[in-house]
Amino acid sequence: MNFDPLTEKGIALDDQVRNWSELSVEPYDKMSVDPYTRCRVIAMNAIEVEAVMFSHQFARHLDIPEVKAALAEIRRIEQQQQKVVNWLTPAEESTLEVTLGYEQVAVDLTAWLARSEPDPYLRQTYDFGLLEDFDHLYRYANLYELLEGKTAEQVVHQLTEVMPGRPTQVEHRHPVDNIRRHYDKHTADPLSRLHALTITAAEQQTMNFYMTIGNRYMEPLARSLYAEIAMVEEEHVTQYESMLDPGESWFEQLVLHEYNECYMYHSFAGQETDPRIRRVWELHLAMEIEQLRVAADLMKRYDGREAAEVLPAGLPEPVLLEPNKQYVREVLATQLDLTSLGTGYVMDAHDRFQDNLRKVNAGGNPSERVIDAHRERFGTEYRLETEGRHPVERLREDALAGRR
Amino acid sequence: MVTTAVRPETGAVIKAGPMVTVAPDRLVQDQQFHDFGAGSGLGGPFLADQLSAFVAHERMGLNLLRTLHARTDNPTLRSRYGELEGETLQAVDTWERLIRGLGGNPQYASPAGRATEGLDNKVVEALLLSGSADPMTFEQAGLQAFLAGANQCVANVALLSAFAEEADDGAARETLTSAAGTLSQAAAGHADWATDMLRKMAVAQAKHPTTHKIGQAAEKAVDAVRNVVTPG
Repeated sequence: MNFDPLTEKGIALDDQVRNWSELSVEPYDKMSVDPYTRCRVIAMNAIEVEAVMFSHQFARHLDIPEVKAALAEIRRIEQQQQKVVNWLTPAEESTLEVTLGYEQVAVDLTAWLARSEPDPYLRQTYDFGLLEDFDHLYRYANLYELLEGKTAEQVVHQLTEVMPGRPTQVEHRHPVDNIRRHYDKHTADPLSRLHALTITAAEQQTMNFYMTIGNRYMEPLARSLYAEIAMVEEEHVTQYESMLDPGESWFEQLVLHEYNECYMYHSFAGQETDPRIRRVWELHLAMEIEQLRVAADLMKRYDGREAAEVLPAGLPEPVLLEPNKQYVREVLATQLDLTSLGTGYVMDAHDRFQDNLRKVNAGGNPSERVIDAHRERFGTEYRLETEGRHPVERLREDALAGRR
Repeated sequence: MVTTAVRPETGAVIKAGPMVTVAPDRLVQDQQFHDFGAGSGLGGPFLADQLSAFVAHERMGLNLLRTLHARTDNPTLRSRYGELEGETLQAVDTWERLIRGLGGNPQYASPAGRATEGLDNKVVEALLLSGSADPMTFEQAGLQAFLAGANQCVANVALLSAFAEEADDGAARETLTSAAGTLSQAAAGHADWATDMLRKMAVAQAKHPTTHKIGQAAEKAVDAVRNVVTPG
């Protein structure tokens, strides 16, 4: 029998409020942390940020005091949860190290979502984004060694490979070509709906993060690399949010958000290797169960629907953060040259795509300069190819070196 | 048992659309509807899309009635909304039987049905602005929302009757005619009731300003209670 948050008992909202010392949690140790624990922290922070921002948007579209009050009360708790989760990240972890964590999430979370996605078009959309985030990891890894003299392997270990994906310089599509088709709420497998919410939250937080911290560097190369990749994250948010069915009512979205939080905390509690952090996931799951109950009550009264009419009877198979090396290599080998035209994917470098590339790449690309700078300094690029040479011949280091 | 919400668990299927993706096992195509209403001389795919929208409207009507039932402070209206929910459930059943009788699938959510749901969703969401309305205004808005839905029901049944009239003689036509007969009385009755109730409420307030003042007093009382339960 699958875990069903609708039938579980959570923690009363009043009992969920934490004091300041409870919010100021002890961060994990960056030297000993499991990279996927770091990834889970980053992912759950993104989920909580999305919960908060969605709730604010919803609150701006109604004036029923009881509903606004309930949203505010839940939102306050979500904010506290976000603080607890995000404050697990230690200050001793540099911005670039956190960035490498963000991109490891983007690779291994996206790959898992793709592998488990039942809808072929949505799976294609995940694959498409996957190769771009995979490339970002490689660019930032090179910047990391340039600026901090350390290798990305110390952050991602050997769980995720670091090598070129779809080159960032050809990820800059015209905005029109970042729109995607959406799932249909009647027919979509519950996994598709939850996956879409999760990836939108994760990419949105990556976008927010780069928007905020990209200007914190003195080095022009770092500032410009963050700016270039931040613009790709804008593309990714546009892409992934398009997948959500706009026909879902506000309350349906609220219930789905709460349900997805239950799903993600339940997933991560089941695989967390750090007992202290597992207890955080378990505690937050118990909190989310009650928040879901409140959301379901609101939907029943103000939307005229039972939560059970829009939610599955139990949580789907848990989201799993694990290595996806072979999967990524397969996608690299077969889909590297894809771009998009409207909502579809094509191998054709069409006019609109090329026009946009000409505009934004006119002064060169920081994403290329960072590799050149690394090669100039160290005589080679930084790569972590644990499974052999790059599956695409022209992206192998010797092939690229010959072109530079 | 009728379906109140079409979803994967109930066997939902849709057609592909320019902005919609659908998994292959949930996909239907126009040619699969060519035999819908066979013998009627009517276009099967179009008819299937229309009937999907009509039943979707009834299902959304259930949502509206449930929220009105939960939110009204008027015992008479609450009781009536409860009755109407039961009658609307019967209407859903009639539409589903009709679709099955014509060889279709009541779990088909057509593009026209999506559009209908979008419209009806906004009707329900219009009531999320009730915080700026006094209780009498909210009750009026609720009735207006129901009347809008009921009038659409009347129009849908009229269209169904028109399809029946234009259909060739045969079993399909008989099925269409029978369903239209069953549905028309309830649809007209719902619209008439809402119109009458709106008239009574509005005229009472117009003729007897105290009624309006009672409404305002009730609002103050509700505010007082609200402030007790929601400090600050």
